[in-house]
Amino acid sequence: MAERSIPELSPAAREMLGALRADESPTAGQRRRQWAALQQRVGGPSASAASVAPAVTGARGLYYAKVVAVTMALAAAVLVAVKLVGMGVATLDERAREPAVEAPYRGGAESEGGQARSGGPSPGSVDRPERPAAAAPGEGQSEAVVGTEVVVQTPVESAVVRDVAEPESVRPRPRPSPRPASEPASAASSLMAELALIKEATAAKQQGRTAAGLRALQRHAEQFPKGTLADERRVLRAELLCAAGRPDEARAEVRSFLRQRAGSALSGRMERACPEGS
Amino acid sequence: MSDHDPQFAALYDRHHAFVWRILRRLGVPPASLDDATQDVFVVVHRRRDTLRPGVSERSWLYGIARRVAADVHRGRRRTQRKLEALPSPGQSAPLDDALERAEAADFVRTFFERLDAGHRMVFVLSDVEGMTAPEVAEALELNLNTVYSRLRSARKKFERAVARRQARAKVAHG
Repeated sequence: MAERSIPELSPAAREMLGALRADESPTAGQRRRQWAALQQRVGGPSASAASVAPAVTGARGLYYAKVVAVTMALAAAVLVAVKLVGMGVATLDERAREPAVEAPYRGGAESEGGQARSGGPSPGSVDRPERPAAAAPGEGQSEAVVGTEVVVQTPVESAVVRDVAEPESVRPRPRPSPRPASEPASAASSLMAELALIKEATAAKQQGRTAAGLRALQRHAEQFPKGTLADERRVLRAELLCAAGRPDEARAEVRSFLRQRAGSALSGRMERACPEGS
Repeated sequence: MSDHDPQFAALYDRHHAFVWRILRRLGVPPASLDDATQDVFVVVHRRRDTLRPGVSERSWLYGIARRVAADVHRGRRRTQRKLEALPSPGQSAPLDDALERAEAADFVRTFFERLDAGHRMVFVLSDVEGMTAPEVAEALELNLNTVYSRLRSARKKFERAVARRQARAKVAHG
């Protein structure tokens, strides 16, 4: 039979193939992390992408939950932005159809037989005193015209009246501009870019390429100083520094993180990033 | 592991490392291994009832992995420009305690690159992943005799390469 004519591999050859297998195998942590993410995907209707509580708790489960939650929020923001843009366009369209509002009354008092328009200050009629009706000729001159009522608006009031009275066609009211539809979309692609750099650093760490991993994290820090995955970056950095034979720097990073981010789900992992004796 | 589907969890446990390694061997870049491995098991979960009795699980998984790897390559071609924009990571020296293993692994990878694709995968599935010749034949959809023939040839070449490496090491270290 053909099988019997195949020579067995030598021990040296087997050892080399074993080294390749070990080098290319996933770690237990990778296996657990992927299982957690897989459960989210295949867990059924209840394990929707909007669920924030992964079946497996811990730093890595929270990492994926964070990514899923942020992505869903960004997708919702895109929908809201599109709706706002649509509403904004509709509103502008409505205004364009509105009849032009006449300019406010700014002239002097209209008079009918010398009488000033009564009834309080008219819009825009600033600093224009209203005078009482002049006494009809012939009426008792002895009647003194007393208490001439002069309505004088203070500068502040006049400004308020002016603001309230001015029609929008003359002075359009500032309206919040709708969020551009591109903003949530660019935020989503920003998150993907962050993910790519963190993954690159993680892969480099697994392969023992500490310098490459630190360079990827440096790029992340420069491009996304306050990115969504900033905590993950700091923990990875401490782990890579420790693996690169720089324990003092690693432990400084650990102490700083635990001081600033004591409540983070990554605290446990950070505490183990560079134990004494590393 | 999950209580909802213990059989799936057991299958995952048995074959996760295999799928991971095979995807890598099929050219999936390290940065995409996580996602690609997940994709394989999503398909496995969906289609696990279609596995016919008598068919090797690994052969079946290999077929799924091969399709997922092909998808990854198609996706990579679409995003190649973005990848090229990133500075390529330098190769730092591996950790001292894994140096020998890394060097051996590198040697084997270099050997694989020189082997043609048909012989390479027969050799990988058989001598790296430990599949039997019938399983390899099933996975690669080859005649059994073809598997034996390619395996014989690949092993001979590998042994020669190992012997040359050992000889060079002796000369270098005296």
